[in-house]
Amino acid sequence: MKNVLVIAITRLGDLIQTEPFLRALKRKSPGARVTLLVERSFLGIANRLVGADRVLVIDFNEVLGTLDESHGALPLAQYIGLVNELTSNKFDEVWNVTHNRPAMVLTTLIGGDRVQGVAIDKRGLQIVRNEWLTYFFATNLARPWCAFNLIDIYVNSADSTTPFAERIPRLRNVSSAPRKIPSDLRDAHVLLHPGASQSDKQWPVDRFRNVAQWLLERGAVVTLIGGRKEQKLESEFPAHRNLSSLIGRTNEDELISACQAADLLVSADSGPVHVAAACGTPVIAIEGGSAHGHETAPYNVNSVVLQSHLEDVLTRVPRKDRASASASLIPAHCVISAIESMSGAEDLPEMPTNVAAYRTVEDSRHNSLRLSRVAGGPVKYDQRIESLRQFWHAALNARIQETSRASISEVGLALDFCANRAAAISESRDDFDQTERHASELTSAERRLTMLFNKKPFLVHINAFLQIARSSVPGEDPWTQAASLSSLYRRLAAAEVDGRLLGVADKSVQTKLEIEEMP
Amino acid sequence: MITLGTSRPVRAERKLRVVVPTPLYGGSLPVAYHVDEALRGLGHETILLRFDQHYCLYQQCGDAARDQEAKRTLQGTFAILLADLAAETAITSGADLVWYTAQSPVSVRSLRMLRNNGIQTAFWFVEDIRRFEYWKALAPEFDIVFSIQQGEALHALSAAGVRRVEYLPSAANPAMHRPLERTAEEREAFGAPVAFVGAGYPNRVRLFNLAKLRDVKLWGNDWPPAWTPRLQENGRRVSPEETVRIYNATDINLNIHSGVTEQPLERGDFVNPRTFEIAACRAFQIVDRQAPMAELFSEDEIAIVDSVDGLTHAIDRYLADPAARHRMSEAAYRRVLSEHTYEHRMRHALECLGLSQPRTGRRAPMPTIADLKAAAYGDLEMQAFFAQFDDAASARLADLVARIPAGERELSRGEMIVLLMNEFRQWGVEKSVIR
Repeated sequence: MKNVLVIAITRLGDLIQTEPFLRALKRKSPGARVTLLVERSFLGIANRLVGADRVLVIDFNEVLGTLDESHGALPLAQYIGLVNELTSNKFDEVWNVTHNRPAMVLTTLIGGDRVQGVAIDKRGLQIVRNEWLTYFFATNLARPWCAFNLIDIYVNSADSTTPFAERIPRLRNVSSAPRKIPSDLRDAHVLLHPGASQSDKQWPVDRFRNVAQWLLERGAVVTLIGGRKEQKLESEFPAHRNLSSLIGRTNEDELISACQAADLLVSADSGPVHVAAACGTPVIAIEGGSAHGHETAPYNVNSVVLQSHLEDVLTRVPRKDRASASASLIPAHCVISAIESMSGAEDLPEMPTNVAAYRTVEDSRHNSLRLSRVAGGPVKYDQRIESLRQFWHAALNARIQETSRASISEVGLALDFCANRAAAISESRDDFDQTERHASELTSAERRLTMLFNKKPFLVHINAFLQIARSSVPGEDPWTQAASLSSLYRRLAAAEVDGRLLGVADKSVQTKLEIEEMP
Repeated sequence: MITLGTSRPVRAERKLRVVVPTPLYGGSLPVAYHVDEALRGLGHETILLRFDQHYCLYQQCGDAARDQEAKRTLQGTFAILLADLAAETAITSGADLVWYTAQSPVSVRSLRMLRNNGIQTAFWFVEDIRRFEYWKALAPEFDIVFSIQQGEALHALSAAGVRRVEYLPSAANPAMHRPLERTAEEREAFGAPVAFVGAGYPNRVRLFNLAKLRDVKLWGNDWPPAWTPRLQENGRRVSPEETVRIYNATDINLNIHSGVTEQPLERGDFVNPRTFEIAACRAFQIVDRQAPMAELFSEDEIAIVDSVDGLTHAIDRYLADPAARHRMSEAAYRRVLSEHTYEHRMRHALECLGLSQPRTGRRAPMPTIADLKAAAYGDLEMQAFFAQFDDAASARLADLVARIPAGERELSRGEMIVLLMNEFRQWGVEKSVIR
């Protein structure tokens, strides 16, 4: 029996988004036992994840508290104990889906060379094993150009053939079958989550109040939810017999029950959004700031995502910490229109500039969740996202076929040239001079490739992907590594072969000559 | 209870000791002084190292050299000496932080000395990183690098291996950049309907030619001869104090970002200090649009132009409408005071560094290597790691980590456990969960 550890020392929403991945691991290795390592605060929700066979807990009070400067002695014995306890489980495979440095080091200490995801190599340098997870890291540098839901990225990293229905998160004793909002709002029970973990994601509370008032006027029952730190928000809402608050009063099980009983959740990007999706409850997700709908949308087919786009999303690479414009750009009437449209009353009206409304739908072609634009937003942006989805699916799932070279774009040619040079390196093992010459040619060609990618903001993350992949390429010697690199470049070139990303180069022959002459 | 991803609310800031080495000369020199003043304004103790006082000696090193190589060697050695001086000052004074501004003397060795002594280092890049190369070798050694640029610049810094990069836009110092009374004398000496303070970069020369700005008063150096009739005081560089007087006495201050090409208006990725300084003088300005402008100022506060025609129209419009100028400059002034002073920037920077929390009691006595050996009794790999240290030496985590080479050889399990503690510690400090 394969013994797998998944390190997910992360927050509520991310933890739920990890669940389908746990099942995908078991689909890939039938009979495998999957252990999940979580922080103590999230033990309750971890125990409800269907895919987790066993849950281990790390306690930050102990792990961090003993490292405070006031503590004095270093907690060396505790750390040795922690590592020994985890390694004694003799895991066959260790996956890390936690994106911080401590988890990377811990992963390598436990998993050695049996790690997947982000870790450090034997020399202490950061690496990412697995191409879908490399993709995720690369898009972190240009988040509006992340074209896939986090769940799809995780699941694809384990088994990209996983059917769509198997990708919807599952909680124990909960049905995730999608439900609809009643057509008459007098029968509706709506949850509002007016808080957010970060200020840039926060949708203004007065707009939540407007939405609550609108719902109450139509006879709906409204319940506020949120964490203890958000309790002060209760006072922003009017007293009404149909309005109650559970803010700060629910544990994980009670939150799940509330979501199960509700007909709709309205929230900024947050943990409850993913709990609701796992309960089949429709969600209106308001995405802004560091949240980006294509990556964090509720994974079910009955939700609406309202996304504020950066004004210059098509022309500039955004700041690392910002995926979209502030959520406050989205007016209350957009949310109200979304509720009306979900209850079947009417279509979504036009949105303000830089706000788009999407429905969450199944992409049967790629077994994944897709955001289907129904109103507003920059159309060209969605076209770019669609071409990126096709490109990355082809490149990372390796379902590609070479087509006519006549249609290769400038980027495709450059990738193809890199593939050839890397292959030449791998074949020149016995001739150091040859190796050196090919390596020099590869370096020049890569420089040109970087230049091409950097010309277009929506391609910048491909360059980041290549950099991460290059520094993580497995193999003990440069010739073996070059063979892997050649394979990677060839797949990217083939994925680009029909010119989807930059358009077909009308001067392809001339471009090819330039590339070849450059070294 | 510790919750991931959230910071504690910022409470009263504890008093820090910060060493601030200034550059020897150049445009970023005043920024170091503003930083020093802002930190003191926030109640912290600073040790300002006025390296600009040694600029003559630095020049002398250049004058005395027999050729370019000797000049580089002499001036480089001098700069390294100053860098070491800054590091030693920080170590001996028990500083919490050394704050470097772009062009401050600094070396990889001095940064590593500081790291080994547990002193944090920050670097504020107040220049366009695309125009310089010197930072590439140094930047990965700082604990944090702040950049006035967004987007690609931040990516470039990250790609160069910088540990942490944060956006920190320019600012104004209200003690210096302030409204002055517009007396007749001031107006006579420094005033004009339209004026520009700054050097004659190619883009500015071309823009002013295209816009046919006949009546503009120019203050600054490197303007081509054709502009001499409008150039004040033979094109000498004006002092910061004089600049403030010019801003105050001028009806319309033109603020065109510099560019090294002849493209007259280029939408760059940062907003220059002049924008904040003019606004802090409660003076009116017309500025060329830059990408981050919208999040710093609104168009009710500053007149922003995108084209040559836009510039000429804006000049005509606002010359004819003093009330609009007054309204906008007043609004911009309030915005700067509430959001864009150096104190605002330093407060944010200290939060990023995890230095905004109050001190929690006295530090416990430092353990020794012998204590750690005892804690790891029976663990042969850990014992092998500690064998390189003196038993009586203090066991600071930073000292242990300093002996672990990154990327040079295969690390032992013992070394990785030390790294694990260090990563958890840094992460906890970054999240403001521990100190």
